Amino acid sequence: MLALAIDTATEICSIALGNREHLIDETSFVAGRSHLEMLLPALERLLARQGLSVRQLEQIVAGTGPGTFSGLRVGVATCRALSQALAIPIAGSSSLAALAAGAASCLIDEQQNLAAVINARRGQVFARLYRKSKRTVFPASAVYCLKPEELVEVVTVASTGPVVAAGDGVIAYKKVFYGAAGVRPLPPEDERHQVRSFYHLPGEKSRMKYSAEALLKVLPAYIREPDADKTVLLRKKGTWQ
Amino acid sequence: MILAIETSCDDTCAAVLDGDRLLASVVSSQTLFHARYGGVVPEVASRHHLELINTVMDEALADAGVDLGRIGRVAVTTRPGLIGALLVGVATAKTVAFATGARLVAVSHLEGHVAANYLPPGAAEPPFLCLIASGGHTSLVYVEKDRSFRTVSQTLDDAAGEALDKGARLLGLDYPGGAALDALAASGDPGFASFPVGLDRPGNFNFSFSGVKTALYYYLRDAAPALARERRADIAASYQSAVISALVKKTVAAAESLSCGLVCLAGGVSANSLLRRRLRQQSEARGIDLRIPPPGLCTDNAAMIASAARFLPDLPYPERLSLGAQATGLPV
Ligand SMILES: [Zn+2]
Repeated sequence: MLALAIDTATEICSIALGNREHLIDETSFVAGRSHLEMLLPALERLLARQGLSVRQLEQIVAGTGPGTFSGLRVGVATCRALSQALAIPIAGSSSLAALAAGAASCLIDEQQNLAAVINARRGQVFARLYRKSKRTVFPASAVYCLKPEELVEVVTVASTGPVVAAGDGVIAYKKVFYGAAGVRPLPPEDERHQVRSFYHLPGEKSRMKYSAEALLKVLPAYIREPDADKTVLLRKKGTWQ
Repeated sequence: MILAIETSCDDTCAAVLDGDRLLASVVSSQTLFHARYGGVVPEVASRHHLELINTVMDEALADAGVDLGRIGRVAVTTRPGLIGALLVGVATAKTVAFATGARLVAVSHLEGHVAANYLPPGAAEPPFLCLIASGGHTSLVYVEKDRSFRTVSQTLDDAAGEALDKGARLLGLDYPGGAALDALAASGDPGFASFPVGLDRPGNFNFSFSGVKTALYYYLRDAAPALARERRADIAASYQSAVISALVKKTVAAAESLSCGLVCLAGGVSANSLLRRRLRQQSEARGIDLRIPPPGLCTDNAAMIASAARFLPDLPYPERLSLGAQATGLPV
């Protein structure tokens, strides 16, 4: 089964082709704030180097964050449009869970907590605790949107032993995470800080069906409410656009 | 056949155009969601676009009775507008084109408003003078035979639609007040009070609407509350008449000075009933041929984007895959 997974929750955009049992190819690149301009060319190059046509795709998975709103919207809009145009099934998949699945190999036992931490900007991080299960990871807390200091407090209180921490949120707030007692972040250069869309890929035997209704449910996990303070109000729109 | 997508502000729009035949135009307005904030919140608009875009596209295709396989070109608004809103439309449009093999056309929202005039029943042929008036934009442009634009004049401060909406707000009407002002003014006496509009010199085709809004503010501040209440319809009619008269007078004068026998209207303010009526009277009196698109093609829609795309080149490959959006200023 040929699936495509895209993750745009962070500044590093990730694309994977294949399924969980058989990865065909993957790519990742620094998109910064240019997800819109960079995503489709990267997807085309990835398909081309495998001699595949977009019409051969059978399933789409969109990383739904949480993460940067604009990046997520580009990724999710692209995935939804692919699903609609090709009439192939689509699913959403948590970027925090994919991050945790990638970092789970460093957990020592099934008791240890792993904090997946994505930069939420404005001095905050999105995070969730995970624990190792037989095959992958399962969530062990709610999804948080907190200041890094608050997160460190919350996760250490919730855990008995040291908490492994991974993600671009850890890198963005190095000073907080690398000095904190009770937190064991992966080394800064460790690749497992990145969300790898391989971990969004469905199993080989996944058999979903395309439906327009299911497509509509695939949306970013924003976590944070829209900012409606006066500075972002746009009064000029009014009646007469 | 062209599938067009427009998401520059808070309306999610898709349309299907076959030649100059409009097969479908779907507009999903978010006005209700934004009313409680008293304006458009960009983040809220962007979220709604993403929720709605695929359904709106499906609806347009179903209305047109065609499937995506028959779409040869996909057109999309890339500028100007709210960046977060535009990028939902651009990402969707270019991905659909990528998946189906259709060609891709980038359209400016302003070109789109003018191109509403290329559609039947008006189907204006350039050259013509076009008054573009909306909530974020007011200008007179000369559309050349090759459909390129030359700006004749523009507003130096507020847009006409903005002036109408702000007037509505001062009169205590709910957001967005322009349409309510139009309705209220219908039963009022436009000669009741006089509100001077700026740049009222012959030969000056530029617009200025900040003064008239201030005049209304002082009028209401200084008027006896009982009078302001009882004569609200008259005040509304007088204010609206002042704004619309300036638009009509300058448009007709510019057409005469350019010896241009064809005038078109574009932008949301073209839906204003007084503007349509006055401009019709004035142009008839001077032997000017006037075309006004139906109201549904004046406010934001994707049919106008498809119409503009008919006369624009396809984006080259592979550059079209990296198509971006340009936020350059406010929605128009
Ligand atoms: Zn507009």
